[in-house]
Amino acid sequence: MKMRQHIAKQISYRNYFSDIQQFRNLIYSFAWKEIKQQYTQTFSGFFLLLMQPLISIIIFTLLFSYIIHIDSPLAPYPLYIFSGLVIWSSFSYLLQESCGSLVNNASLIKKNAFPRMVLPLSKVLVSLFQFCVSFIILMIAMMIWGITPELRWFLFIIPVVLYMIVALSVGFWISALSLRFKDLLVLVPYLIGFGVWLTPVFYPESLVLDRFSIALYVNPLAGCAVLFRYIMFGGDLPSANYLIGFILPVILFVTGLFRFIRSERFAADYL
Amino acid sequence: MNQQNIVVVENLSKEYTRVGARAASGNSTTGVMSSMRQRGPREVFKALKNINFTLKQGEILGVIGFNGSGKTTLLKILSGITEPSQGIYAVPESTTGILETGSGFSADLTGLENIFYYASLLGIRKKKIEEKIEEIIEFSGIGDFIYSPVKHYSQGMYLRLAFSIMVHLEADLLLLDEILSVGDITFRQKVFDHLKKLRQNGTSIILVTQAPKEIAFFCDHIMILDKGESVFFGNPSAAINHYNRMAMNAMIQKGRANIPARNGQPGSIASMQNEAVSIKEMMVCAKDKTDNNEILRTDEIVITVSFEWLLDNSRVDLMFDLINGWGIPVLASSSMKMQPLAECKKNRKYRMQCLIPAEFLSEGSYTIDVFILVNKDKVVFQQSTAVRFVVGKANAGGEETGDFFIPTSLQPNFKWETEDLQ
Repeated sequence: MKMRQHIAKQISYRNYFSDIQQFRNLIYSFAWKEIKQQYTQTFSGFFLLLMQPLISIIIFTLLFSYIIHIDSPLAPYPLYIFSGLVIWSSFSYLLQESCGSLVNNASLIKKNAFPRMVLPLSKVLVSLFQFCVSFIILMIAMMIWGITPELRWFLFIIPVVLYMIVALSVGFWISALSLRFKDLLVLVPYLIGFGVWLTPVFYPESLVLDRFSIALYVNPLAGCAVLFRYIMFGGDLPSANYLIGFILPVILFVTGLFRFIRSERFAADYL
Repeated sequence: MNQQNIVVVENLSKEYTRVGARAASGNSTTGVMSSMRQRGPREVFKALKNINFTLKQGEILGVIGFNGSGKTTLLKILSGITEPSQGIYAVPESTTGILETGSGFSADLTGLENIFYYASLLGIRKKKIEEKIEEIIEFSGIGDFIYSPVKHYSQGMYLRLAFSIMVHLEADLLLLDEILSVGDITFRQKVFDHLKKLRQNGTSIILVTQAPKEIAFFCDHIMILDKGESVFFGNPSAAINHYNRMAMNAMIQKGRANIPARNGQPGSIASMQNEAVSIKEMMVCAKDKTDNNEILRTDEIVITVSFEWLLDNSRVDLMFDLINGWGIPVLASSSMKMQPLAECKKNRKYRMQCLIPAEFLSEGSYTIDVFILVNKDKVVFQQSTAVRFVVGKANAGGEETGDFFIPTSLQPNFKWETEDLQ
């Protein structure tokens, strides 16, 4: 029989990662539970998935395309918005959920022993699922619009991985810190609310590139959106300056990972 | 059986820091502003202090203690839900802690999905559960409901499913918190039977409970926790006695126990009154030893009830039943056969006594329920748990006993004879 020794105030990262390996079924279970709750149980669930972006697309197409007359360079404006929304909504979901992953699951954490990292990781799967559903709709819409499918579309995985790292870098830190400072979670919706306007979701990046280029380059989500549009619609290869925005997220991601592991051991005490 | 140590716990302590707890001393100013300014010092609360014990394979340990004694904290640490502040512990890699039956169930998932979900929450590989899935479903007896969401389940079905998963786990160490306090008697019996089966297969179990009588005969050892300290570790019957004595002492300190309930004591039985009687005194004490509260097994025990009769003249009888520390009625006695019979007159005071012979009750804690009857059958007064008392171990030299102790409440000295048949 294999025994395991635990000494107070000592962390074995090796044990931790092998535990995650052991609990990988839980990642799928959590994700499946979430997906099922969101979409299949309610009749409106699947509708909502379609309606939300559709309403945004209609409103912003009217606003920007017909009233303010903003040009979208590469594709019809509705498709252009939709491609931005595909990335942004998957990102904002992952950001929101990973930040609250400890606090929102207090009752589960207090009663059950599992590596808490499983919680944000399961949100990654749900976010990926959401992305895939919207991505398929986007591809269908593009083909209906008469755009021929290209092999390049499969590079979509690069911006997906990038937005996940960005979301988790913030998510790990905020969820770890939220154990002590619960008010941090209140800030997240504001972060998302402002972020959508700082990111070229509803407008082309060319609109701000001349005057506020630095604001674009330090925003990692701008990089994701621009890269995703390049993959979908072609055009010029995005500037390497966009890489600047990813320096901080990568650092936060690695430090946040370990910060999360250190904090989660006491999660049950603080919740 | 292989006698490998399954659980080793050394110097385990757990501290909680309560931030913002007000200091007990000093400042009398109250108000929103002042309470905001003085956030109070950080108060360290020790939930567990220096716990040491070991448990061998196939053994069952019961952990008992009052509320807030640290039982659940110990279980939370051993199961890995939280970390100790100090100390070392070793448990098998396949350790399963169930702190609440079915706490991990998700209402929207079907019974079948919940089996997989719950198993994954406990860290069990999918393959293992797939092998047992049919067994689990059959054992739960839920039938076709297994395909509908558990939110439509009745409480009983919910429990049966959770329990069914629980007993089919193949853990080396099972940590159970208050598992046995749910469900009806047949359900509990079923749990016991299966835990016994698990034990035979080499699973060690740590049970936490507040109802020690339920687990007494089932455990190999019992640990008593009091305010985070392990105050007793040993065999169950001795543990139960120790625990009952602790409960007694705690109640004496709170002023709730009446051993004996004396006249005029605040909040005591003495103030009891209804339209038939006014109780003046209810007490249990050793004969000729009314000055102290201690009752030993070698003492004759006197049960005394004094009252003032408020009804018309009538025949009055006293009845009591004696309940042991595990809540089981042991005996009942009445004054029906008393000679002469008590004919009570209106507005006069009486004292009735009953004498329990020495070396009759075994050591332990007891309570009595008192009834007063008119004309043999009409109950005019009743008080359950009227008096609580402890019978202590006989003084050295008082009685010839060894250490071997069968935990029964009545241990009278019958007439014994030996004949040499050679």
